[in-house]
Amino acid sequence: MTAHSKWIQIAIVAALVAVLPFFFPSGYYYRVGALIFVNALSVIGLVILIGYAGQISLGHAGFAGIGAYSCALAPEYLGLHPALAAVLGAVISAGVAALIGRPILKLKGYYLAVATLGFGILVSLVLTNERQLTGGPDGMAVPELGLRDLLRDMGWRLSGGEFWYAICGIVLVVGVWIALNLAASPTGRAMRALHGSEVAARTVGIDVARVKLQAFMISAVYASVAGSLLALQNRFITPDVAGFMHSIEMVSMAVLGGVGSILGAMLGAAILTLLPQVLTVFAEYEQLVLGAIMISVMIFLPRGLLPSIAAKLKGRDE
Amino acid sequence: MKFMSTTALAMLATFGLATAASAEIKLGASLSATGPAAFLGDPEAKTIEMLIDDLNAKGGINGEKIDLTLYDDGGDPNKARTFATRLIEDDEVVAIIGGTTTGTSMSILSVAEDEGIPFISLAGAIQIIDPVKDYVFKTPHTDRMACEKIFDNMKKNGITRIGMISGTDGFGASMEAQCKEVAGSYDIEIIADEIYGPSDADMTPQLTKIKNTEGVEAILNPGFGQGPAIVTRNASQLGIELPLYQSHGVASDSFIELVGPEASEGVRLPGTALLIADILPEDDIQRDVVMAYKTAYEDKYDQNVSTFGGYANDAFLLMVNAMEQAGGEDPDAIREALEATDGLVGTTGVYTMGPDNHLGLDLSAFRMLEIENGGWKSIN
Amino acid sequence: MLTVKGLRSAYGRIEVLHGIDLEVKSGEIVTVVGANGAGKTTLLKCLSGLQPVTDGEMIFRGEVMTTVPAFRRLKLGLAQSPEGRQIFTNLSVEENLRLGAFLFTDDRVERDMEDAFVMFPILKEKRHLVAGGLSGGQQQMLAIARALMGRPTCLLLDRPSMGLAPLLVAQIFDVVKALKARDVTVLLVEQNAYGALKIADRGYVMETGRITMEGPAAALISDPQVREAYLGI
Repeated sequence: MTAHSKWIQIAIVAALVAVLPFFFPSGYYYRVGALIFVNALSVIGLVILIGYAGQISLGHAGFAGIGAYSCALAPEYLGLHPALAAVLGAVISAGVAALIGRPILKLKGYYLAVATLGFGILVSLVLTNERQLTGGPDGMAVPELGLRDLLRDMGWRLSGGEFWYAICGIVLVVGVWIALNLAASPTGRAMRALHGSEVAARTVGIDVARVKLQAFMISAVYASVAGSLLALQNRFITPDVAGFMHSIEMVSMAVLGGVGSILGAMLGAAILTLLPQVLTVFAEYEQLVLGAIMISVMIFLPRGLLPSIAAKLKGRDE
Repeated sequence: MKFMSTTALAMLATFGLATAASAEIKLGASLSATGPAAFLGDPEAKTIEMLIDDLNAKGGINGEKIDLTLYDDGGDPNKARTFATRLIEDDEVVAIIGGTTTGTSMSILSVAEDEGIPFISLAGAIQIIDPVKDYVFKTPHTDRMACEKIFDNMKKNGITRIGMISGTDGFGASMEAQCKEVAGSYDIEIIADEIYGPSDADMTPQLTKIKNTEGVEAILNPGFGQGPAIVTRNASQLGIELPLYQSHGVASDSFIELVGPEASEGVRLPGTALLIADILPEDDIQRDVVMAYKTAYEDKYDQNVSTFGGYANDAFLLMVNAMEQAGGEDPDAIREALEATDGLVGTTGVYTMGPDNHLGLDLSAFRMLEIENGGWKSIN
Repeated sequence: MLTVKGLRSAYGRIEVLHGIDLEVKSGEIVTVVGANGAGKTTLLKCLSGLQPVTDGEMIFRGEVMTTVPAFRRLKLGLAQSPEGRQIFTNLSVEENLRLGAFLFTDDRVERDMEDAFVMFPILKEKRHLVAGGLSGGQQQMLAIARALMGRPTCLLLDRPSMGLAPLLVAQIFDVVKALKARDVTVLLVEQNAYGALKIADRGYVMETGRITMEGPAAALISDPQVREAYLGI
């Protein structure tokens, strides 16, 4: 990837975040926008893990759960500020990823998929069963971030929707920037190299186990931050955030948009976040339509929407 | 088109003062009609849709029809929050009914509270209305009330020492905790305490332990779904003669079908008037409301009514009553009117709200029932 | 520089190397020739750390390397261009070269890359293209160039001529020969025994997991037994 295309991609994302609100007919669209940004953030994490390093995870919602519940638990039991709680969540997620990644990243293909799946289910079970601590399946409240009040005191009045749109938008742009820089860095190259051939990667001096672990940890932090943002803006969290369906949703978004491409992943996140909102009229057929779209994309555009379309356009130009 | 404009002109002529602007009251709902909580959300959604049609056919509230926007949140709290935002910001509803589960309700309520839109939840947890939030109300009784009703009945029957066997599912665990909190105030002592998992298929060992505990006078089983049915069957197989108390979580005809009339004979549980609609005495205060809902729902959908649909029915009655009292669609006026609800008869109980009580039910909302010959008997 | 003593290796319970002794001196080009399935690639995999050794040892520049993990060996000066042109097909030519220099962050990386481009001008032309799009010969050049980016003192080359057209085979052997001028010691495993022995200083002949003959390349090339078995003459 050239430096050129990196800045173009960041500019596209930043411009979209900044310009979209001018077309919002009501405050509800800020909410949808913020959700797309949050989902895109965790999907970018998966692009790093799946797209760059070629490792699958069907349990990343577990890290979203850690991030989300950190924002609920740390303020209540440790008296931590919610923003610091999000940072703590990210640190814990990275630590947990390091701990479980070491053994399970030795596995490949289906085995890795099942092992990560197990991890996700484990987190969700703990959150569900530790009722005294987490409120169980009924969930628990998350304290107010407080930043919005601070801005209001400084004379900057934002509605809840606008505020979270801005916060999630900013975090997303930063997330994109980090991911693109990573791609162009030696570590990112090493990740993409081992994706291509682990044997060759070892022969050029890449510590394959270590680089896989780095990818796993980084993607865990992305998922954790996304979970924290979700918890802080919803002000309430249930174990669903760590559930199996959420993991599948993340992977679907990544695969739909194109798992090797940051912009593609964001497109996937946008589509799968928007569709249920568009399809409310046919709520009964929502799952059917989603399934049909996924199957069609996999059959006709196997590399995902954006890369496949980009390749088709390029092909036409030449 | 021509017909419509003619009608519109006629309406203008009839009401004289009616403006061209919104002549409908916009009501929103986010329910879990699909997903894991669909068994709750589906009858709720059907109930609301049915009641809206009926009301509009009769001319609406103070001459204004109700325009319902209903979303299916699939039980996902995150989706529920998005739909709540959409209802308020985009659809511009003046009030919301919904929140099938505690999680979805908690998500909706913070949006409703922020935006000052009255919201009636259909979920059980006490935390929804305790502490009281200005714009948030709910119709189902709490688990704690169910415990109190059961303990009250035990006390009347001279039972003081019991064994508990609780499901570890959300409902069972929540009720277990609530029951343990209030047991003391009814002088009930829990001398045996067992649990089972949501997918356990045999509770014989736990029940045997309880049976062999010296001095146990009754068994209480907070739980939901399959578990209580298995407990009841196992207890019967073990020949346990002690009174078995089940929770309101299984208060439905399908429980008797699942267990079988013989094994379920004598099981006691707190249920609502809706469950025993057919045997309510003529002078029962809830009889008319319960029969009206039951008849309408069963005629329309060819399906048995459930307690959960009843929660939606009551929420709708409360909302319509408040809108009539408020005389319009101002959210704050509706909120005031909801809080001032006094003696409104629903299928779940009689509601009397106040500034510090946004549930408005007391223990009389529950009827203590006993299964007899495969049917229900009131043992109040 | 590289000494191998009694090296044994197995796939599961089936032993494929039955005690290999081998010596590569500094500055030499040494080749191991033999038929398909003789165990040449397994030997090279053992040397680069990609295949576990069950017995025996490997000493490189005075250090026992038998159990050093593969990715650490390059740092110690031992590079490998693995079998089947294991280049990173999804990355660009330039990224492949930069990965060859993964261990280094100094300015020399840029110079090394220019050197590689001088050696293989075609790679400069295609530096921004995806490596998977290169022809077989170009991919082999890229594999060698990438190995050289790791600044090895000794390079293990696995069948660089495999699957290439005769003209390209000659070109590749020329490149290997030229490595000598760059002070890179080479251990070359080849199917093409004639081509390999022609550029090598010394050679080993391998048969079913054992070294059966060894000697100066010139002597082997004229040995009647070798000529009959491997050179088809």
